[in-house]
Amino acid sequence: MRPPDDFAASEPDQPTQRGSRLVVVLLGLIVVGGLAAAPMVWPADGQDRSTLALFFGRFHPLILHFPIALLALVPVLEVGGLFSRGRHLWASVGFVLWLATFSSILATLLGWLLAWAGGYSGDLVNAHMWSGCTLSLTSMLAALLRRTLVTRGWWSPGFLYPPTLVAALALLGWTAHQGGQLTHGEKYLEEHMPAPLRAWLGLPPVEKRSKPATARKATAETAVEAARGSFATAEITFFEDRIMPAMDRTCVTCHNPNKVKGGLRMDTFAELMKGGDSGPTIVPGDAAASELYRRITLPHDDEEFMPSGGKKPLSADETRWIELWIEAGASEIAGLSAFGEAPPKPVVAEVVLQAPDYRDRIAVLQAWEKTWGLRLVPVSQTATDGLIVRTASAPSRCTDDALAALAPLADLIVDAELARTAVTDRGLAAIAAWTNLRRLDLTQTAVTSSGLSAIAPLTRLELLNLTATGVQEAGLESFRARTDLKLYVEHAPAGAR
Amino acid sequence: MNDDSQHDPHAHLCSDHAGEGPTVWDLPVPLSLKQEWLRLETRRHFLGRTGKALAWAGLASILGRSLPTAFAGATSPAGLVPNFAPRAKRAIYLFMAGAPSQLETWDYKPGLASMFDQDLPESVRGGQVLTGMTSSQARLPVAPSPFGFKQYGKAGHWVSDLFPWTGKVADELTVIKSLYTEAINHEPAILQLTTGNMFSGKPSIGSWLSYGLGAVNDELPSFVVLTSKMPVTKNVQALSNRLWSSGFLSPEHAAVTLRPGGDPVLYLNNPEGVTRDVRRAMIDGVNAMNQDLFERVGDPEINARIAQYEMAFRMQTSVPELTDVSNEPSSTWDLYGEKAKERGTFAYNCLMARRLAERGVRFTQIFLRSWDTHGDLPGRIRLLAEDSDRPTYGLLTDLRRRGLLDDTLVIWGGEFGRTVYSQGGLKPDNFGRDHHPRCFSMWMAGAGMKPGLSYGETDDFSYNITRNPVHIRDLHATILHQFGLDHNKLTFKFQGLDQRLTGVLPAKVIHDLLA
Repeated sequence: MRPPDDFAASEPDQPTQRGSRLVVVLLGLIVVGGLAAAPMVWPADGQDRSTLALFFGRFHPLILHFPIALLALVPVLEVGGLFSRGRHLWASVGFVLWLATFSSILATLLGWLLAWAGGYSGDLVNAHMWSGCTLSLTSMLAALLRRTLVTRGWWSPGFLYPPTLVAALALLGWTAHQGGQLTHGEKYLEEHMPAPLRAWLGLPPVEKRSKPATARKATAETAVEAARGSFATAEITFFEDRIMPAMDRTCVTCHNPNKVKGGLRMDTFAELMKGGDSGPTIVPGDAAASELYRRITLPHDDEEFMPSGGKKPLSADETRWIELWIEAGASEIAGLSAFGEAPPKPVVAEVVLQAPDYRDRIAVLQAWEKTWGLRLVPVSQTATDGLIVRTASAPSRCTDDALAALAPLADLIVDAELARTAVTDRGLAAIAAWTNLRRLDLTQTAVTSSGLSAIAPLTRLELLNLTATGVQEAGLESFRARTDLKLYVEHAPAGAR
Repeated sequence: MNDDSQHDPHAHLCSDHAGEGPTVWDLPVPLSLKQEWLRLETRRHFLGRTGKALAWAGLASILGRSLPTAFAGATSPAGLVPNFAPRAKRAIYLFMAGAPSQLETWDYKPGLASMFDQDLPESVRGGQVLTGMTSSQARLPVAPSPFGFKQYGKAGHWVSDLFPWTGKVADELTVIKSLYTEAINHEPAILQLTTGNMFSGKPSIGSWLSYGLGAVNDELPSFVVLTSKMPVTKNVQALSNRLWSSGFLSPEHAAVTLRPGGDPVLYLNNPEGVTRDVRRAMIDGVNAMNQDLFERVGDPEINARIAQYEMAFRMQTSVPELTDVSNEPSSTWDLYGEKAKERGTFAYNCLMARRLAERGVRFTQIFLRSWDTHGDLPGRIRLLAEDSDRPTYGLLTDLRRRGLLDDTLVIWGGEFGRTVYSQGGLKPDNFGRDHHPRCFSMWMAGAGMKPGLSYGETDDFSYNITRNPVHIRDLHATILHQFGLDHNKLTFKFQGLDQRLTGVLPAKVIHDLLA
């Protein structure tokens, strides 16, 4: 692949250089060794420490982007150099690779400072740190091997350079992913992953948010309580319904088995009650004395305020729930009914789809408009609010055939303004397929009672206007019986046009 | 010139208006000419037509804002689309110009009966500066309403004996007793209600709706104004097209007025000897010339003019069909009264409003004037109520029966309230009332309003609002809301502002009024 003598000619292997290489290797080993030793001597244990260390540690999120970008650049340069026009790129690879190595070492060092001084602990933090160390080492190894390859050719340990580089890149991806999980939560990447990809990766299908809460209930304590028969009913507990969801959103991202900030986990009831480095988090029956309640009610700019780092604070209602819950004894099993005075859960406006999204069928829709000189108007800017068949400009053009031609759009129509159109019973047969129809205006049309029986199965219909039609009361029983349907049958304007 | 420029590779380089309709930047002329044009056109507009807001609309669209923001970002196949699902497809606004007294109509104050001719307590007035018409009066004696009130319907609205017919449909009404305004005289007050601003030059509600939602029926204008013959001709306020102008919006959004006498629309009929084909040919010729002019100078007003010629041509057939009431069944006259047969009466206009609503006109505004009862209030208001009560009932009932009230918003009201104290001499059955901006009553019906609701309260003198004040801006925000429009999003860039009906001061949708 590479001509072995590419750079050898210009860089003869001189003793001085060998010496300097030895120094570099030694230095590197010391740094890496130190890095490896530090976590063992001073592990990240969830304690908050020196603010100066933390000050530097917080540069980790800045510096870490350098090894990512630089290391990712290396294969680009290597491949680019394969082409004759990009040959000059090879000259930079060594420099970039060393720069990547040093920035990686720096990022690892700062990351450890952040974890050690910033009160992080947990499996994921540790794993991330070790990946960082290994990455630094691998990157350095790749740099050395490349040097060897350039100076001594393929018949040397240099032939290990390509696999080492690939390994470094793989490690890079893995380490970065761990870092992302630490910052954004463990499911950050897979949360919105398309189902086929999930399946291919062997990930479980998306689980509902409420599932963990249910699983959580099955702790030893509840099992014992259940055995004692102290709660026989399957009432939803206040803790599960109100407290845990609030904490899931606000607290658990930093207080979980993988990222145990301040030595505190809040992902289960037991861990929450165990407390963290600051002592017990919750004093049952006394909200004011509970560390958790104190922290969440501090002024938002207070150093100790939780959630920290500008995350969205608990709402007033959530804070009140926690207060009531602690005051009532911080029970895991107390039912919702025991908290009658608690502010209710905000009602999440249910998004009701009136019809499927019309945008997929724009072409069909426009073709129909063009053919018949009538209009199909979206109800609103929400594409699932459905379409209105609008005929007011030219009602006479709206014939039974025009309605029949709407068949491919049948499920999109929620409102049909057919007053004064040429629609007859034959058109009603076409309308019978408009399953999402909510409003139908047939004012002054030639429809009859018998024709109307075709649209009786339209259960979503809310308004049916038969003003000034020939419809007889006799054919309307099925519509009259429906309490959710507004029916207008004013016959008076006989001759009106 | 065009021949050269067609080969000019840079002809379109500067255009960033793709898809937004033609501007001079889209014309195949060299860039230098375009810039020259812009410079000249800007100056000509500015100098030659200062004070004419439409010029600014031209400028605004030259500068790239020719599309209403209402549908910027909409993915509609058909153009203008509401922000969210609307409750109202159309509205009918019964504008009682001159300001009907709330004390005689919807704000029942039984406690005043015992206070005849007593001085209004200073604490109630609170040092308010009065209009020049009553500020020099030695006394401000309380004038109780001489009209009785009864409760009607399931909702139990207190309805004045002036409105026995309206009382029958009281359960349809959402009465608001706590409207207020800052204007103390008619022109600014009416302007504020019709256009959201006391100064003329702003678009009316109907123009905003036309601009934001487009037309339902292309054969008729989106916004129609009907002025009514007056049963009383004292203290009449002039009406002008300032109240229904399109302001800085394109002129095709202005209302078309149907005249109370003569031809409903002037010169709508072809002169003798001119057939429809001849008329068509003439309009085609004029349009071609206008199009040519447009291509040379790019003024969007020319487009509006072309559109209006087309609209006028269509109205030549649609308006006679609209105003031909010969096919109305006899039940129509039972509802609106025999007066509805007489062109230009309030009753006739109410019938027209129903016919316009049926045909998809978005916004119909009927003006009934001379509610400005500074003197002889009981006598005059009786005549006005007699003229308007039954047609109002007729309109609401007719809309309800025909299934139109579900998506037609009906609004009734004037521009401010009237004082509890008498202007001039006070007798139990003869007195006047001055302008009062601090509280007044209106009602709305249909299209998702909460029927039977009485909203807002005033003090015992109907002087100050004690509960749930509603500013005109709030009313406007609520009206737009029923049409599926966010009043903060329905904007038009003009004079450096994203102009909107509710202006720059805070406005809120009164959700309590909505079902």
